[in-house]
Amino acid sequence: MTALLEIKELSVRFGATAALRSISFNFAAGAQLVIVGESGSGKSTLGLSILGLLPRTAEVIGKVRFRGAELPVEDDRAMNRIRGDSIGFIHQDPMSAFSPVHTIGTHLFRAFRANHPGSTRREAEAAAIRLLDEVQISRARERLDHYPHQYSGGMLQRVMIAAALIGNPALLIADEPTTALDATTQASVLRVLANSVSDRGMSLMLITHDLGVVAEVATDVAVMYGGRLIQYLPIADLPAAAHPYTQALLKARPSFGRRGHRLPTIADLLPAGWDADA
Amino acid sequence: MEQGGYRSLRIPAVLCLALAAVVLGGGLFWPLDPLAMDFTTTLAAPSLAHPMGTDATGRDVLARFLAGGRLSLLVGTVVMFGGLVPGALLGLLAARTGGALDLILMRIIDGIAAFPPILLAMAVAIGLGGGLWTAVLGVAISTLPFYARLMRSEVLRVQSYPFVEAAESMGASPGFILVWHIAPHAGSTMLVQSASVFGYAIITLAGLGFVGLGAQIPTPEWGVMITGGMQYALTGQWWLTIFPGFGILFAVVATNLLADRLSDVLGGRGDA
Amino acid sequence: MPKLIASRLLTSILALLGAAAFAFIAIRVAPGDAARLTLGAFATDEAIASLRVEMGLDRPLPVQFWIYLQDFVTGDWGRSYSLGQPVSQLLASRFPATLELGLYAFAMAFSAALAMALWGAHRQTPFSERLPQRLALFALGVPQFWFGLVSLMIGFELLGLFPGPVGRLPPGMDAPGGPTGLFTIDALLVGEIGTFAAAFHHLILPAATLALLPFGFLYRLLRANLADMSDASFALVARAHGQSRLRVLLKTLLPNAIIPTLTASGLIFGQLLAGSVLVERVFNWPGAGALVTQGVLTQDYSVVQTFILLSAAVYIVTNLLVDIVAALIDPRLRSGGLQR
Ligand SMILES: Nc1ncnc2c1ncn2[C@@H]1O[C@H](COP(=O)(O)OP(=O)(O)O)[C@@H](O)[C@H]1O
Ligand SMILES: [Mg+2]
Repeated sequence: MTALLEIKELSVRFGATAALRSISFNFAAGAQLVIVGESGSGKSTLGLSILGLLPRTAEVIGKVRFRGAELPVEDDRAMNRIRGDSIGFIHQDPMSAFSPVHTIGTHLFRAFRANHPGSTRREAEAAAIRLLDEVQISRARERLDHYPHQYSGGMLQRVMIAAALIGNPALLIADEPTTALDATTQASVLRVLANSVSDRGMSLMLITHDLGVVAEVATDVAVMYGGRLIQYLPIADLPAAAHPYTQALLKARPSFGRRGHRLPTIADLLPAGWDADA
Repeated sequence: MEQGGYRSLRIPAVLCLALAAVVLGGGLFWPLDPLAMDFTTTLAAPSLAHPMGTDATGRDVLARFLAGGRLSLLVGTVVMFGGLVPGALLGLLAARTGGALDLILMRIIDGIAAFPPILLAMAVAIGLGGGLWTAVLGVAISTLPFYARLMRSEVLRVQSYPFVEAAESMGASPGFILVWHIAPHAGSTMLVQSASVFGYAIITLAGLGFVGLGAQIPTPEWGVMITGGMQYALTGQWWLTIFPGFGILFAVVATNLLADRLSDVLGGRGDA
Repeated sequence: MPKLIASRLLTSILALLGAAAFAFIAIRVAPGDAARLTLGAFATDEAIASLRVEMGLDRPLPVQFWIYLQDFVTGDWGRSYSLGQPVSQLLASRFPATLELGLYAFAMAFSAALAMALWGAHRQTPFSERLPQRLALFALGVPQFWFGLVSLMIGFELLGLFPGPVGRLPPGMDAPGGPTGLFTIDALLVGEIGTFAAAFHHLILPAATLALLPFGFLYRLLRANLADMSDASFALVARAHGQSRLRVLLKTLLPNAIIPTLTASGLIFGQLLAGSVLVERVFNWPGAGALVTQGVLTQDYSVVQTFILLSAAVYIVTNLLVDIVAALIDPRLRSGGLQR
């Protein structure tokens, strides 16, 4: 299998802070990578450096290759064609990820047009409605005209998933997509995300500090600590993983050691299509 | 804004010190009398004897420039503190008493704040009969809304700190809270923000002088000097207007820059 | 919404009362004689005595204040003794000149501030940040009347590029007869291109001078609002969708930054009115501001008092309107949802 993403000795500094210290890994097409690590360990920095969206204050060294070619992170226009089209992004805080003075429809149309130059409004609207249906926002056509404050956090996060899917990217980077949500909503959002990713055969890079998420979706797990990648391994090998830090993380989730056993989530107990926020 | 730290204060501090040194020290080295007329050398262009030339009555423009600078520094300082003390007391009173008094005081402040500052100062100067010091009083009154609102929000902010609420619930007297909690926090913010009033006072007073409501004619004041030079501005005697104008520009820019940088570095929280 | 408007209306009325009370106290209750202030130094004792009765100066203060308010609200603003006309007529006849000057100054200030704030936010180079910042520092620190004089010394006397301080049109040229009193607009309406060009030419220096203060102020406000916003996650997310930096700046950040800037309109109008008092004198601009300066110099204060109180009223009413407009624009306020 060819690697979708190859990261070689990637380091990022913010002034005196080393956010990433020489990270290297290869990420196979179709893989579902979960990146865990405590807050401040550099997970978001990793995600944003792949997208080329780190703030200007960041110093980046190292290489990121995507589908065999180096990402043109210096060339913002070339990156604009990759962002959204090839690599999608979901932000951790849905409440601040939408411009408060623009409608949900406007957000989705703009995301669509950024990836489909020359498309008409009608096409954008059709795509937006189709995707809102997919992420289980009911009465989608009507809700296009609503403003972000009229949506709940869980609904906004599902809209953000829809917006990230609108360019049909090969890789989706989801930065703690459920952290800002309450427990019930987390499960439904995560299920929407997992379904969409597997339906499309996309690759997923899911950043989280909650190992409960790992079992739901992962094929691979990466563990980060202090800007370093301390482990990268297939999920099957995780329970036997030797690294003491990983072991410590695992001990925090005792049920995880039992393979094949999965805690039922509320999402599993709900009838399909049930819209928790409607 | 930027984290330049105290180093970012260097340039404005040097500019302000240079201003003070020239204006205060210059008088010691330049002995001419700013009011002494000499009808043998009227409207003389800048020369060694008169580096800034002479005006229509032969007065030395440099001597007047230096005297005008001293007056500006004095006026800036007077307005800064003359507005600070009553403004801070008003804000403190409103914040500490709350309720109806707070409401009434702040609506009065709203009413004062509705006037463009220089027009408010004009109203006061006219009502009290004109002249330099009534104009200064007017300018000081026009700073009241700025100081009172700032002080009020600072006091409310400090009062809501957990350690202040704790001290209050443990029976600390209002005087104790005032001296040990409010004064140090609010005081430093007020001082930092008052720096911006300095330049405002100088430029506003010059504007009042220009329309005839500030300092009166023979007084060497920068705004009045520009007014006096206005009729010669387009007939070639540029030095009568250019020098005092540069004086105002330099003084206001230097002190505004210092005020901006101070509030960046020390984190004052002005909202005006 | 109606509740929001009602409460803003109430605070506005209170502020208006406060402003009127302040003007009343400053001018009536202060030691000077209000009747003499109105009639000037050379009025006869009889004239002053009869005006004292007319103004109600022999009545108790609260009654005086009530009369003062009534007169102000009904447009009964007294008359100018030196010009012999009612103040309301004088101001009305001079207002178009001041309005035209103010409109051009505002357009200049706003477009320059917007362009520079956007340029700085987009380029983010030391130069594109510092140049506008220094210009704003200069604009806020330079005495406007002096800048006006210097612009005449350079633009008119030295280079001959601009007309001298002769007002709105060259001496001898007739005003275009049109409905608005704004010469550039009237000239276009009646098709006098030559008059339009002349009127526009005469506007450039005074309008640029008057624009300085609002420019510095608006630039700082826009820049701060844009800076607040550019760290916002929604900008990052829009970029992650593949939208260009410029597009995100113009389409997403700018609309968010404009709304809080709008709320400063009252202040800007106040700055323009106050500035016109200084700037019109320099350029011999025949507007209301020059009337005020003239009133001060001839100690004919009736126009001055009215202009000052009117400027406060303009500020308060503008703020009220702006709050209502902002509520209409801002979806969070419009739907009565979250309060900011
Ligand atoms: N814009 C930034 N400026 C300065 N330091 C930053 C910035 N973003 C992240 N950092 C620092 O980089 C480190 C990694 O941060 P981050 O990638 O956000 O961690 P995580 O997402 O794992 O919580 C932290 O120490 C953080 O303080
Ligand atoms: Mg993070």
